Amino acid sequence: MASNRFTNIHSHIFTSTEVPDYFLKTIIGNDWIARNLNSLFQKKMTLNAMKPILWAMKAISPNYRNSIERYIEFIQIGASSTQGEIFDREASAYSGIGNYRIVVLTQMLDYLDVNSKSNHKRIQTQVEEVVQLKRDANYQKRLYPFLSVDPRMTFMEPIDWVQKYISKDMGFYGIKMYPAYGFFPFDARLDPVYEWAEKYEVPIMTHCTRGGSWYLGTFDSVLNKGGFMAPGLNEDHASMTKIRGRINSLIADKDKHKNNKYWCNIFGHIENYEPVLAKYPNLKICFAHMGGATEILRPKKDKSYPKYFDDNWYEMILDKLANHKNTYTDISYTLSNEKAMARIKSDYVDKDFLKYKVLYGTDFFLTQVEKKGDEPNMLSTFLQLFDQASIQKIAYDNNENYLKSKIHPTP
Amino acid sequence: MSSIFDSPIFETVLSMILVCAMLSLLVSSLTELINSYFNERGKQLYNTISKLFDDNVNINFGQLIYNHPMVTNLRKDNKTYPQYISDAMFSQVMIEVVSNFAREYKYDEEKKSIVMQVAKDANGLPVHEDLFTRFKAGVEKMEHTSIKLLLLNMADKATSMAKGDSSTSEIASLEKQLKQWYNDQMDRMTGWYKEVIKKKLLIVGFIVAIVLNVNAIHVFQTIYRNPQLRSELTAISERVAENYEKVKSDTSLTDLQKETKAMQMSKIISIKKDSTQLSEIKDALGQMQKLDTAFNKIISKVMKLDSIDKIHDSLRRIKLAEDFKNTYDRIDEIEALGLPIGWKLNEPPLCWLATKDTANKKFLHRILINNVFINRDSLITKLKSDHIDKYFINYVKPSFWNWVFYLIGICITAFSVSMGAPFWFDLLLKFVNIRKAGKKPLTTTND
Repeated sequence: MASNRFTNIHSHIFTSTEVPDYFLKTIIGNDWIARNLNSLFQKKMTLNAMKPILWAMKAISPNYRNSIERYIEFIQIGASSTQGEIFDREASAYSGIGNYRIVVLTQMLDYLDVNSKSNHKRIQTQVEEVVQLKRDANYQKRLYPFLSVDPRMTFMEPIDWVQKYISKDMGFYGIKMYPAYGFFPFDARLDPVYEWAEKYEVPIMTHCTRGGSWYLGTFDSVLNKGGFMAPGLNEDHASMTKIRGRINSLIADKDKHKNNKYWCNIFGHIENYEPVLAKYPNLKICFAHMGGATEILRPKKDKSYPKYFDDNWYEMILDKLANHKNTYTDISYTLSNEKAMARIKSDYVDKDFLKYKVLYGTDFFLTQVEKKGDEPNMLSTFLQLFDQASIQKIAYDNNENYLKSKIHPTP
Repeated sequence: MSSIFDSPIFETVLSMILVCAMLSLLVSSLTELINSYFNERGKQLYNTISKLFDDNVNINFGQLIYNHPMVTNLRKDNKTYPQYISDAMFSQVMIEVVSNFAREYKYDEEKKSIVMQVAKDANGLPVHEDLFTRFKAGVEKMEHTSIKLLLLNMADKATSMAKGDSSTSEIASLEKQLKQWYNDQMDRMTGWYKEVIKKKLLIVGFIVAIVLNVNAIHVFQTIYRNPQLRSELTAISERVAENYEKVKSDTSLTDLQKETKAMQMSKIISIKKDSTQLSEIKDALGQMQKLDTAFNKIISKVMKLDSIDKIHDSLRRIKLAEDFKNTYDRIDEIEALGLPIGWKLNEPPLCWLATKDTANKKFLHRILINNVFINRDSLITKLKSDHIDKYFINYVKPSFWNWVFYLIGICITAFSVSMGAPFWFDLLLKFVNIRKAGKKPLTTTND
């Protein structure tokens, strides 16, 4: 049956208080500068003071000026006082679309650097705020939260955590994972979560790009010296030999060994889901961002990555979608890249299986730093790119099928 | 016969204390300006309240109180934390937040939404649950940690106290305990805040010492070797100390306000002649003061609105504008002292960079005096012919030791001014009082 609710399947509403103080290390290497720039850009007066500079830059370097403006805008949204305020901002873009709902993904940022201290709101408090929003009559019918899970969580067993919140009474609909923050999706500690999610058809959203943000600590703090790794949930599966081989190759690669970006490629690699899907073939999982624009546009052979992980994530995701029945992908963030979307559209037309597997999402508000990355522009790009029938599939029907579970049979 | 208190060394020390007092007041004003801009007090309060409930396991109720409408209304804008939360508001909001955590919600299939459950009796009528009972239920719902035990014990104590005293309710006793706990933590916060401020004062102290080019050793030498300047500064010191003594006991003023008022009452700018040593720095601050004017315009508009929230906001802006003005005035006063500070091409350390090569007309290679370029040797000859003290002639010459003493002088200035204005003003007052007490009273011939 056709759905009548337009759905954004991928967005964020966490505020800067939910983010560790050292988070901007992702963009700016120096911790001290990152923390202070963060405070500085949160001030309205700073933005006003910067106006003459930005105006002058319009003549000298318009592109650079625009990216600074977008970056400041991004910080300003994050500096909102409540998650509700950010949701309102996102929702305003959909006021003309009719009946809509927005999936908000909570983000477990507590283990971004296990050795650094920060006074941010931990995931328990972030989730409680979302629980309160979900109960609020202003948001209840439009806000569909997903619960963030990380196998390193210490305050509760991951399975108890998901069972507590993903229920009709608490109002959470699915699970969010971000392996690039420092864990492997095949981690044995997640085994009960996958088993439960498969049994109840609970959707899982997992981050799948080489870029974005990633673990910020040292890798000895995750993998231990000598490369000891936590056991996997399906160690006997054939794919594990290649996966372990890839990890060991990076450990041995002294040039790249200390580069967090490469490690995060190792954590989030698409092949890491192979042992999971082999054990739980009916798992409902969405590989977010379709691997990212850089992968979609990357030539078959280039020298960006060493041989041991020079796979194209976009193609690997297409392969997963073609061979596993409950797998999905979304166009969030990638939607901000015109060229990548042109290729996606062409593949969408050519490959039949994609018509039931692609979901509309934007990755609000993280796209704010991209040109035309604000929510109204993202929505309008999508509506202009696809025809009515495709929009019905991507933004309505597929999303509804993905959200549907035994816990929420009629989302 | 002149006493030790009239000796050049005592007067120089007294003058140095005045200089440190004025510079430290500038540093304090600047630090206050930075703190106002970044809402440091509000952040410190938020961090302290967060830490009260941070056990890594449970929901942090301390952070959640910031979402409570009563606290949200205290925010000046959506990016600023309130600078102050009273103990009464803290206890009231905390009880409500924990109580709300105990509320039960269920998905209603008919309404297709999550609805709050109301306890009902056997007849299906709603049962009134008092706030204290719900608070206890909220605490019991928490995972077992030291924070849970602390709150549970507070609730138990409240029950015991209410039993022993019929005039006190359980909720009132609980509020009392929460207030006590909060106030204790606020006292500790004041201590932490002072520690943070100390570090900031040192950083700002260094910035001021470098930007104003204040070499404490050279300032000391200049005052010691210049009787006229020394006597002028001694007179100002006495005047400032006298005024400081007048305002010191005023409990309605903060430390910074007392010292600022003492300086204002002393009217240093009108006593001393103008100097252009710090004109560039003043210009920069003058630009900032334009913002102050803009603020005042906004304030006048905002104050017309009958809204507590807006008035709070305007008060914050007034405070920021006041901080701008204070900083500007302090620079004015320091400038009026006529001390050897500020950056000039014919003074160290810039003149040490000048070369003997008169043919080379590059910037900094020769010294500009009265709009005429002369080389350093000519300057020294000029100083000698003017019978200037040998110290000043040697000071103009570049040497390893001059550089070492210059850097030491800058460090001494930074460390001294970071000790805070109250320290130097109190010391100034003591020295002036000692001087007054130690002076031999004047006798008349009639006696």
